[in-house]
Amino acid sequence: MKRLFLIGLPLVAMAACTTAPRIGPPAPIETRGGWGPGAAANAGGAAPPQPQAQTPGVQVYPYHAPGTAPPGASQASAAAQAPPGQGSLAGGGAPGELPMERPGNQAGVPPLAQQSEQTPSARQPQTLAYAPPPKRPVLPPAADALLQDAERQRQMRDYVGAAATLERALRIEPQQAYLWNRLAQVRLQQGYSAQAANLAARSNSLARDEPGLKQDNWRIIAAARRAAGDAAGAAAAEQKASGG
Amino acid sequence: MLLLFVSAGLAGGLYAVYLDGKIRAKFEGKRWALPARVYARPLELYAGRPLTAASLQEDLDLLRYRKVSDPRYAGTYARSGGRFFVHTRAFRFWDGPESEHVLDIEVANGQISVLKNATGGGAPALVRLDPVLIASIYPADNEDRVLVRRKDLPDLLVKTLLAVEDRGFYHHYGIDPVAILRALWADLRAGAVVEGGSTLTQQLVKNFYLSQARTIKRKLEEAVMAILLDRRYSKDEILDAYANEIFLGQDGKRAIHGFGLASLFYFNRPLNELTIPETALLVGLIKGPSYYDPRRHPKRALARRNLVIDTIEQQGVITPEQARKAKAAPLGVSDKGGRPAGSYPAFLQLVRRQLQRDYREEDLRTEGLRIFTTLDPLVQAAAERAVSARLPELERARRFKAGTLETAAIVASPSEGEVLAVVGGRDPNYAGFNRALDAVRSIGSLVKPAVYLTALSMPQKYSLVTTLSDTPVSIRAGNGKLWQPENYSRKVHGPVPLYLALAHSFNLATVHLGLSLGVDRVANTLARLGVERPIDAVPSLLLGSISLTPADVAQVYQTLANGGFRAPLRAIRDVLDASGRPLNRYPLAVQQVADANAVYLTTWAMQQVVKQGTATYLLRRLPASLTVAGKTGTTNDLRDSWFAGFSGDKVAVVWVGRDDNKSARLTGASGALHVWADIMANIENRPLPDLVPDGITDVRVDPSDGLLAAAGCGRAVTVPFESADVPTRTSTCGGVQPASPKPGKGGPTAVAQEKSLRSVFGEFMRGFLGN
Repeated sequence: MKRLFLIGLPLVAMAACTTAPRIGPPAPIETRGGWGPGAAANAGGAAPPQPQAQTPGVQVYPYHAPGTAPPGASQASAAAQAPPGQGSLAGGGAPGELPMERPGNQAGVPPLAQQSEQTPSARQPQTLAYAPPPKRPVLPPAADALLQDAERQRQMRDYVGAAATLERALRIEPQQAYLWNRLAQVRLQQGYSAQAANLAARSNSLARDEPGLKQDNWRIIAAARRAAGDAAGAAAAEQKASGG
Repeated sequence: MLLLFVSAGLAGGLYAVYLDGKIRAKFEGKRWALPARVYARPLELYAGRPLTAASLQEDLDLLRYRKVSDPRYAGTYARSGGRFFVHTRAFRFWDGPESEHVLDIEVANGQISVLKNATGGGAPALVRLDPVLIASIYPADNEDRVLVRRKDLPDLLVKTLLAVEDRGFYHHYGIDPVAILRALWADLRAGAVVEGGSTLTQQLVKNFYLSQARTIKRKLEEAVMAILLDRRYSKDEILDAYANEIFLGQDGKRAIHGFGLASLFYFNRPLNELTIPETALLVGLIKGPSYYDPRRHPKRALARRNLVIDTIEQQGVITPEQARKAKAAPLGVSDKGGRPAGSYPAFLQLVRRQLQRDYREEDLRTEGLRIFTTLDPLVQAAAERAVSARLPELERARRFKAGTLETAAIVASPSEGEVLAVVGGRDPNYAGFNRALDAVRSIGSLVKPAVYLTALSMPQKYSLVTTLSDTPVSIRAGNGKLWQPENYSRKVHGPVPLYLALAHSFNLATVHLGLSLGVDRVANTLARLGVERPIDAVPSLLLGSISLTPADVAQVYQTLANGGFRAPLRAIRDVLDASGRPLNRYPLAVQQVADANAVYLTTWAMQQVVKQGTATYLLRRLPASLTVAGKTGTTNDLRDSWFAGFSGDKVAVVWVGRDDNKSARLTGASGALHVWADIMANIENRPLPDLVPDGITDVRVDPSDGLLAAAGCGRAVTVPFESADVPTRTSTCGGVQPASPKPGKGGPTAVAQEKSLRSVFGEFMRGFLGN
């Protein structure tokens, strides 16, 4: 027995040489669906992501401890659309058209240029969408810090991140009309115009003696109505946006 | 002979190839099924945040921060009165990592008055504590582990592990003949097995790939595979796998694997916070987790730990001085370690429902998802305490046998629709029937704000002081029977101003109002506010014949509390994958479903419920600075006792009743209201915002006729109006002089009418005050 072992040992060692050593990290194993920046990119061509009834993909990256992203992640990811961020306890529909969100710079963001191709009337909101933000009010330092973070994220087109930061700020200062306005702006730039209009209306309902802010909210509402094909409503909102 | 050699070698070679495949499949495949971790909301710290010292302490306790004199390590804090020095733990959230901080926090007058970096530097704008772990969803084999990376393994742990288990780890080829000989020698000298010669690699192979049988064949196989493993993977990769695979204890059905979880399981702290004696104990446990179980066999465990300490001292890992101190330390094992803090079955049912819609059960059990929920453990604790203290009291007062009454409660944030707490019954730890989500009960007068909102949405027709008629009603219902509702007091109050009819919950006035509005219209309002169940638009709907769950009601009142903007109630904020990368987010979404000014007026009337109506108990129970609005609800035969209401940043619904649907002998005001008050009095609350929206004007009016009050009118009240529909005529205020000559609607006939109304109203006031 011992002799066999001694003979076997070098052979085993040789045998081990026959298979090529692993190069690079192990490949990720997909269960189904996918995830990653690539998923978001796919959504870029279309209007806001279409809700699908499928469950989102969960992908497993074996042998990767927290925090390290496997290099294969981006190419391995396939587009997987989130189901709508549906309601609540009874599982009913969410207001607006917001789907469950995935991270990434442009997750679910239709470029504005393409949006205007789809809806000819969207040319006006396109210019409106990039209006300078209304005057920033004096906020408590915690909310203000988050607001500035969010604004940076928004300018870098990290809309999902900006929205998350603004929601965090809203948890701290839920009555701040300005924060609701900024979230509306982010949603508008993402192409979620109906939700943007709702958020702008919420901002308006909280705004006091802030004509600039209210006008900006009406600008967002006008853009949303135009995107929905409501030309008359958009015109009325635009009149309010210009202080009329 | 040669042939024999060659063929044996060939067979061995083929076998090795087979084993190699087996190794790779496991090592590079999905190695472990990782349980999902469910977290509560993180506590946000910033100057000015409403927070009591007790609440901060409670959160630190739930997070198992250790109280020390000098918080040098993450996860420790020092406290003196309202001043806390907290060394926070780093944590990875959806939006990125929150780094470690040493904070100097001062809590005074119910808020954080000072927040500074204790180490100097500027004051941070805001800092999140790590979130409390509230649950784990385990894989089918009940193996539990917390993955740690090689680079996160503390140096001390690695050195101790190698000193005790495998001194030659970084030099051998998977097996260590020197160690085998040394072990053999030691065993021979001792006459028993005192030392093993297995390398870490062999131990890993044994756990990973092989049965536990002790045969020569298995031992051989183990050696071969160890060599193959060592050849194919780096030492650090092997160490990483070992550190996560090693079995270190048993907790009921749950098997404790890996150092990451073992650290939590035995010491309630993450691995990087462990001291020398604690590290020595963990390493010592490898030899026999149940034999040396420090909870069941502390003496054995202590001896084993000290042996390990001696070993690492001999190897120069620690100094003799450190060893002396370490051996003098107690075992330091905590109870209940590594388990989720508290148990939140009712809230978790809600989380599971939301998850099951979007994830497969298998993924929840194996993918190591990190689920960040909206649970506020402080609010949840207050709600549970309120229920368990108040229910026995209500039973005694109503002469019920203990355990007769049941209850449910749900608390949410109005602006975001985040569910903060769920109580599913009087025993919050019971994971059975969840009344907050599943008990469908008649809501009684909780429906009334929807009736009044419907009216106030037509400001040209209705104001808060529109006179309603509280007189008997008799309607032939669809089944041919007569429906003759009564007031709770069985009295009739005649003409009453609209807001008082809501404040006192007059049924007859509400029915008259609802019928003139149209039941369909009220049903429509309810649906818009968030009722997703079918609504039977019959007259009895006006008095709350509709049956809803507390959670359904919470959705309706969330919309009211949020100025007419419905935000679907959510229990999950976001989900990260096992490696801490963002997977999904459930974003905040709102939809305007009611006119903001009409909601403001309705809320004003709901404040009158508290100020002068059926819920004045709250005036005594809550601090004067905390303004709230709400509504009591009582159903036939006192079967259901409800209260639903909101402050500036919390909306809460409480139900008290019986599972057998018999009388609970409680009105909304005598039952649920008390539980509601207990909850609200013990959580952080902001008052209702005192801003008056644009388009609303406060006007002094005579409540008996709804006209402007003259300067000297004693019974005048200040009531908000839609600015465009402020009354233009002045009331006589019970006097005989004609209305002021202000131009406006109405003429002499109107004045005559007012007079008669006024006298009836006076009667009502007397009658009402008399009862």
